[in-house]
Amino acid sequence: MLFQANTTELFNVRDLQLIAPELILTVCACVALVMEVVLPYRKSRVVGYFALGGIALAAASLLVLGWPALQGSEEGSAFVLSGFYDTIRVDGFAVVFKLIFLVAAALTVAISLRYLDIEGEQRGEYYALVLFATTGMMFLASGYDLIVLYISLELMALTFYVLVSFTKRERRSNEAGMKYFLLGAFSSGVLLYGMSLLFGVAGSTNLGDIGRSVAEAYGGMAGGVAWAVDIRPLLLLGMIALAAGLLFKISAVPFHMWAPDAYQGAPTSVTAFLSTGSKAASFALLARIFMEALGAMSADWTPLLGLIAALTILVGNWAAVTQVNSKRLLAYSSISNAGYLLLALVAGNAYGYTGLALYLVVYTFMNIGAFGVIISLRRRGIIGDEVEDMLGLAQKAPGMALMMAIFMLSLGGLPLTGGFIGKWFLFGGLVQRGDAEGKAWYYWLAAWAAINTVVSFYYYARFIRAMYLGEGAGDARPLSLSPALRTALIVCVIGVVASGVYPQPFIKMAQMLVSTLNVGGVVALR
Amino acid sequence: MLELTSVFLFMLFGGMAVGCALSMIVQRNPLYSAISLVGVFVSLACLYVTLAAPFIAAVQVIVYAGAIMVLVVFVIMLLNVETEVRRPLRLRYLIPVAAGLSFVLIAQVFFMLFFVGPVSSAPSNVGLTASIGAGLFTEYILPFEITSVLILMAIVGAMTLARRAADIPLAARSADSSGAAGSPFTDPINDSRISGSRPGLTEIVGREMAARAIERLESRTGRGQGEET
Repeated sequence: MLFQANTTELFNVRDLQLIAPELILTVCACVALVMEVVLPYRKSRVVGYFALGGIALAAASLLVLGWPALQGSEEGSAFVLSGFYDTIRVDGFAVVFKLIFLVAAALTVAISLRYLDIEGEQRGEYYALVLFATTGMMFLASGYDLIVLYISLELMALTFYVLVSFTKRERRSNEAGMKYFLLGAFSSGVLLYGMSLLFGVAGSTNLGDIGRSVAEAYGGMAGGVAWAVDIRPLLLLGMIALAAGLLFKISAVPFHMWAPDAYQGAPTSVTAFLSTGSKAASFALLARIFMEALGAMSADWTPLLGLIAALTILVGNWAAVTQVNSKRLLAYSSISNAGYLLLALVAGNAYGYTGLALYLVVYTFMNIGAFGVIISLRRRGIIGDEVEDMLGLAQKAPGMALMMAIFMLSLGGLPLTGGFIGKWFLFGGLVQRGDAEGKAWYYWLAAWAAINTVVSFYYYARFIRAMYLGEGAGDARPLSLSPALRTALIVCVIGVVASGVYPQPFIKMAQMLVSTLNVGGVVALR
Repeated sequence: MLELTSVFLFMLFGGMAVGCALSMIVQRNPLYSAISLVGVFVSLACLYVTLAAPFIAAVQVIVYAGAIMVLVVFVIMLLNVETEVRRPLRLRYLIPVAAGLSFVLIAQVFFMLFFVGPVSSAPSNVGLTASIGAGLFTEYILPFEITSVLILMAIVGAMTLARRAADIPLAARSADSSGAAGSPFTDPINDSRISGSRPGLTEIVGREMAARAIERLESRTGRGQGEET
């Protein structure tokens, strides 16, 4: 009797193909850990190349899985695969975001290979941790259940706490890791509180169930049903707690204090990954929860997010003006970019969400590219992360200077670069929403963002001025370049320029994201 | 009879919990306080058993009384705290806050007693080990598995951070392939460009701690020498 026949099927084995990219990454991370032990010292770089191979394999399996999603939805029906008791969904949204994460991870590994040697921290665990973080991000993009989402968020965040303090001999790095850890743990607590309130209202952790419960409650409120009116404060509190937790992760303004310290103290390659991959994953989570679960209460959260976006754009841009450290400057620029990306949620229409995906793709390329150039300035005995270190770079390394200039102009949003296309869609979504609802504040918000973009040109141009007009080179020593870093930078430049000059394929891909998201519930698709 | 037994058991374990909690506050020795806290957790676990929630009881014992308290005791023993040192209360202004909070707590208890009616005592399968196991391996199998990855990552991360930094010989570090030929490896800590910068919080605290440790060491060795001579 002890061995009773188990008639319960635990899960559908075919569901495993839904998480195939994540499985590949996890296995590769474990193999990387073993490799680090087996390989002799100074061969750890091999682990990095192995990690690149793993990422490529995961990308291939993701493309096989999500090919229907990327093919476009001519038939009109959205491509959604759900599995594991509907705790994950692989749809256009998830596929697009997962591609962004994989690209960010691959570029990060490529720019780390040489850099870790210089920092004297070339260890295989680094690559394993990057793979673990990517796994967490990918689950974050496809999770459809609060528990899955929270655990994958923690998987990503915990990895980043370790990565930020990875250069143990640097006091800055330790300090950054500690600050990020303490504040991050606190924000996770707030986020969890919001999730528990939502669970209390809906009685389920499934985002779809929560969405239906919230819609029902708001429908009842309109009719003046007593229980629905009573439940409103609870929902509002849950929404605010969720927003606070998530806004911390994307470093939006009242919760942005950790970002400059963490970005400056972390190893530069980790900063690049933190500012692109982690931010994109947090935006995936934000969009997923606010659209799918809280879509019915968008009238409550749209003004809130609008206000926070306006503040974030203001503080990020103006604080960046006075910075002298390039990593810190880019940290403030990253804060202001979080504000621009929030505009997509404020707009809440297909146009805005296209902008979200598009801008995140371009942002990944231009930010990792910019940090890659900063990495090339890091040599033995030279930190190279001050703006002054760029002095005279145009004479010493014209190619690098040109690439840095392109990244900076794109970050500012100059036409013919990817940054312009992304901002165009983000601001355009706002204007469209204003048209649809006839409310003036959407226009004002778009104008506000555009005005602050002009400010951002000032500090991005400081890099260009230092490189091209700077008198007297900072130092005569050659840059630390490696084939991998060069390749990564060229890929970044191609990404930035291609998406600016010929954006159609990128726009088409970004629209796949929108096709599956529950955007229709807010403003009709146009 | 059953009713009477359950009331008796509640009184017994509830009394134990309150007694242990009082003892935890009153004890001067931190170690005794910690042991009293274990008593609180164990009596709470017994209360859970009487409420027909054996799984929560087991988790209470394993996680709180077991893992967390062992950590607390470890820290107390590592710090070698003999008895609590009574300092003048720096956080005196928090006393009214504490009083207010405890009033809120008592108000909540009375609210529960007088306004929320008794819950039906029909047996439910929530909190039973079997139902938790079934849920864990069917509906929540994916989060369960991601948690295993999370724990693996946490172990690797902790090892990475805690491993001694100097396990890589300096010679090997400076000898590996580098583009900047002929430049000796400079330790980032002693790099003039870093140490010239504004000290961070960790640095200040670290310096202070180091100064105190040296002071203590000096006073101790000084005393030792004094006794010898």
